[in-house]
Amino acid sequence: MATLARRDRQVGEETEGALLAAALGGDRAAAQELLLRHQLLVYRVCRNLLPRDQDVEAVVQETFLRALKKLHAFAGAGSFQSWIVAIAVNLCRDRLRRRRLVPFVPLETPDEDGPDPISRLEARSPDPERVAMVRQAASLVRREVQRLPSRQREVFTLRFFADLGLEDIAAALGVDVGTVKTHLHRAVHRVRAAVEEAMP
Amino acid sequence: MSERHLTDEELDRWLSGEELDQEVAEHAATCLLCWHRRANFLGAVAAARAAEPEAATLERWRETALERWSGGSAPRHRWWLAAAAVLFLVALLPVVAHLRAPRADLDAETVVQEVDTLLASDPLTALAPEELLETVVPAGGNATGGGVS
Repeated sequence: MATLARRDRQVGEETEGALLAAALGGDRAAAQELLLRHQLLVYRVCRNLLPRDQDVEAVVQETFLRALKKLHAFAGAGSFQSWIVAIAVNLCRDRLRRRRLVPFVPLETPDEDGPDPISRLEARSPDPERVAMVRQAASLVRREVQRLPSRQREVFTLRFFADLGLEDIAAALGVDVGTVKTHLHRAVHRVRAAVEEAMP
Repeated sequence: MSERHLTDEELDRWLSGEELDQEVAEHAATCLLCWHRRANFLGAVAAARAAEPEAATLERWRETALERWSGGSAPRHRWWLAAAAVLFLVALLPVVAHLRAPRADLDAETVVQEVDTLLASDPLTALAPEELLETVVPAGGNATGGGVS
């Protein structure tokens, strides 16, 4: 047990390059650490691009699996983060295309996965009016994001829900940074205008 | 420092994470109104973020992927392989039935006797069609005049 714990610590301290090399050689602990580092990011991308919870679970798992199976194809070009996000985005697109779904973000965040930001605010804030305003703003943003064209929605999601930088978004979507900026400007403009109109 | 507030275009660039011109950036850094507009947007976006899953949920998904990667569990979605195998076997059934059906055995003795009889009566007719024989060996006197070489 102590050996395992020591090994876990060692793996946790490895650089990403070393982890990739070890995982490529079939090292399960290294593969696990790689997924651990990026799992929340993958989840956020899928959760905000896919409408159904069961799709989110399936696509997150498929993203993990595909990333591990295709590690040899990564070859260190760019960041692993952008690469795994690219896999997630492509799988989300496939899933939406197959289901012919118009993507949407639920108006109310489901509770089963844990407290959402508004629930956390409710727990902290004694001001119900403020909580109601924030709830309204959240619904508004989700609705506006849902209405964005697909590429703008992807860029907005990666920037604001997955916290990726412009260059990482460009790498993940396979476009140049200028294209990302253009899409992001349009998306931000639209969402911000809606927020300011509702909450001046 | 400029007293002019950020335009919508400049605010969108700021929110998108782009660098602003120095003068605009200096204004944005100290202007309460511009900060308020920025905070208003970012607050609404933060509230709209999906809930984070529990650690156990992510761990379960991660472990499932790792098991499938290392071949620890049977691959899923292989039902179609089983269905294809069943269909293949069903398609083979008529062939197998035909192969296994009892066939009337040929009586070799009878066949040999018939061939012998035919050859004994007219060996050429037994080997070639009658029209061919008529061409090569006409029924007239030529037949006796020379052999067929």
